[in-house]
Amino acid sequence: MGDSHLIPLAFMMSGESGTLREIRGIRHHGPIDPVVTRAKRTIRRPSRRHLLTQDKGPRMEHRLKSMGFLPGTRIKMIKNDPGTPLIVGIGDCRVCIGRGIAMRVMVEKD
Amino acid sequence: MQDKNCHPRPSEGNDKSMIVAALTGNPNSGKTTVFNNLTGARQHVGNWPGVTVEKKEGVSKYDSKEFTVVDLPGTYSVTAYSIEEMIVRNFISQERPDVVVDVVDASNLERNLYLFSQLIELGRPVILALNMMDEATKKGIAIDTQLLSTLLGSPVVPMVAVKNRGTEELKMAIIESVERGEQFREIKVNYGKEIEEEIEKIEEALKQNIEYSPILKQHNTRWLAIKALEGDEHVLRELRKHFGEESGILKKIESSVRHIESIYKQDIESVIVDYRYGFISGVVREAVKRERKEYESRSDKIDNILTNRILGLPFFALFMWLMFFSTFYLGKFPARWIEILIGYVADGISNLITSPHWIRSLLVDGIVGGVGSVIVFVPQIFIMFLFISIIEDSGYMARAAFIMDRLMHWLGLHGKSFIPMIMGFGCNVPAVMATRTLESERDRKLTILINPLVSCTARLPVYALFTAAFFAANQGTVTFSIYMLGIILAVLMAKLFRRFLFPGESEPFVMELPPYRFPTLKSTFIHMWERGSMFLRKAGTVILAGSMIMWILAYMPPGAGYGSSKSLAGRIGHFLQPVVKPLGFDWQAVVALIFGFVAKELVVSAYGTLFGVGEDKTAIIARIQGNFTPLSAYAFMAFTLLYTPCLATVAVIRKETGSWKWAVFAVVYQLILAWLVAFLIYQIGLLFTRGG
Ligand SMILES: Nc1nc2c(ncn2[C@@H]2O[C@H](COP(=O)(O)OP(=O)(O)O)[C@@H](O)[C@H]2O)c(=O)[nH]1
Repeated sequence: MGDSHLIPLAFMMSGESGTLREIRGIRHHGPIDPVVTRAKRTIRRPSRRHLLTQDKGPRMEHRLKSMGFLPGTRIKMIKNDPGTPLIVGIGDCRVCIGRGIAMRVMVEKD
Repeated sequence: MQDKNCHPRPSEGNDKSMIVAALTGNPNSGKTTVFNNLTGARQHVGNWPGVTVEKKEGVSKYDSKEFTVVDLPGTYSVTAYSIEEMIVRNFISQERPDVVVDVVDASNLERNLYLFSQLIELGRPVILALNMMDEATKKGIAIDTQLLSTLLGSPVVPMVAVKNRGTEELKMAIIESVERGEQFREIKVNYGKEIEEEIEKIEEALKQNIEYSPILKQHNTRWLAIKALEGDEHVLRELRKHFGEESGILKKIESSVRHIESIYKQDIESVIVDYRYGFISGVVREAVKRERKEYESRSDKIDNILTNRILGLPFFALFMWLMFFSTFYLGKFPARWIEILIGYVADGISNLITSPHWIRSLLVDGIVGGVGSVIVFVPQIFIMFLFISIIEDSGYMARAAFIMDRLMHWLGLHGKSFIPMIMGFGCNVPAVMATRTLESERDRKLTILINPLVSCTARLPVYALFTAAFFAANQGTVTFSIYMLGIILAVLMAKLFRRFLFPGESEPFVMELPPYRFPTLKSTFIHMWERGSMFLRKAGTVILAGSMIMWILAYMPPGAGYGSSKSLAGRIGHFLQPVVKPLGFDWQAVVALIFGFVAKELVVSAYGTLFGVGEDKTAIIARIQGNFTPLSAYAFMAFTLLYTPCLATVAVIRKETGSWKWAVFAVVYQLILAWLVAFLIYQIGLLFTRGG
């Protein structure tokens, strides 16, 4: 799947809409096989997850999903003004999302 | 259903006297409104054991049958990532309520059902309270509730909670579901062949061994197996504790996770979450029909102005101004009536009880003087809470967070940290609790530490008394400057702490912007009353006790002269006075401040009692004018603003941060800060007044 048609949510302009395709976490990057490393960490030393402030991926991703940021969802940029967080519309909900995290939400623009 | 009364109810645990229904739901789904509809005034507010999340319980009645309703915290899911979510799942698994009511927003069904999909796995019957049907209709969403009920295997009750519609039906569903027992078809989320196989294997292994673990036994094995696969920290910890680090069962889980992740080429948590959503969208596709109409909603129109890049901030400032104006100016009128009333009471007591002298003194000087001087502020405190309730209930709070985001970034925080700041104007205790919505621990600690610098209503009596005594001409301006001082110092301390205690970036943030709603009179008043009545209770307990102790200290030893330097109070004050001498405070100020540790209103009560002038404000003012200069009075107000959080706030900081370390730190840093600021104000001021 070529990624070239995906843009980060933060790059959408006010009024534009598209379809959410994926949420990129830290652990999706890099060549290491994420499967094994994560399994080990999860079972053996789950507390590490708490300590590793870097690894906000799963928690943030879960939170985003439970708030409706799901692959395949229609998403509309309500407000993208410089200097403020973004306001996006998912269905009829309005969610305010920081620019940093919005760089990891990949969208296919209409 | 009357005839079923005498039938023994099926299923376990029903020998307890009353049916228990647990209320859950996403934030903003109308859960509180439903709770109020069900229980009316019959509520009891407490805390969940061990944590300071508010726990509300109430009794409801249907057809002469009473049942208990427990309000669980609003959450989006039941992971182990937050305390609220832990409370929800522990309550459902361990207390085993007879039925769980999931309040969902019908106009956002898809998202709200995520919680439902997790709730059914906890193994208790769930009723879906389909709230906000009016909104759904307005948006052109039609829901086939019959079909929905069949697909979810649970009763579905359509409701419009604000109009109190559907309440009786919900009550009936609760009672019937318990009495009839099996009207629930067991529906579960199907996780696909591979995962289901692994779940089954883990369940088998668990079932063989679980007998010996009381904690694990309380849970549904399927739920435990799913959670273990998901990597749920809490469940894994329990399993490890019970079976040991290297046990076969943990190895089994580990290999299952690896197996599944190698098939899906994705981490297992995401796979499981996606299956849940698959289940939900299947249900929604069948039971929900919506005419897609692109329209700009009313909320978006309001947002165009209120969160506008240029207009947003001025509007917010205007609103804040209105809040303070109403509190200080409008609140004064009812305050005066209460003052007059208390005057009558004091006179009445004086005339009625003439001897023995000490009882009269205790009643008039101690109790009426101490408690009365604080009760006067009840109207103003209620007005402040009224405004805060309106901000919360209308949906404006989230917008305030949005507007302030840029400024908060400069402090190394983000907009959400601003919400506790606004609440701090009411009371720091709920404000510190409100920091729970912050995901990052560091952000949370930082927000908690600076919160007590936001001036709460309890400090209002002090400013009111001192500005009346020394700055009668521009009371408003002077009080405002004290509030600003608190905010400026909160900003400075935030920068300092971010630099030295919690270095690094703040965590990214996501926050729902609920649609604007015109707050209903009822809900706003209930909200205001809940908060404001805490203050009344405080007046009846802590302040009453404090005033009596103060009276003893001022009265003892007999013959020393009430409130004189020779009294106990006088001796304590004189002993510590050297510490605050450079700030321009006398010994009475020391005594008042010591009492203010407990609750800041006690500073004023202490003066009321110490001077033995009853509630008579002019007399207190006259005495204070003798003790302070305008300069030292200002330093004293600043000191009161800054020094140590009150006892209740210290306790809540300890609970919320989980250690005494931060509570003690808060007390110490604020004492130092208060001393330094008061010192600077007084000494620099002296230079000017001497020079001039
Ligand atoms: N239109 C509409 N508004 C509702 C309904 N139920 C609750 N509300 C409003 O939704 C807002 C949030 O309700 P609340 O009970 O505080 O939600 P909670 O956060 O889930 O406890 C309040 O302003 C309520 O007045 C409903 O059925 N229809």
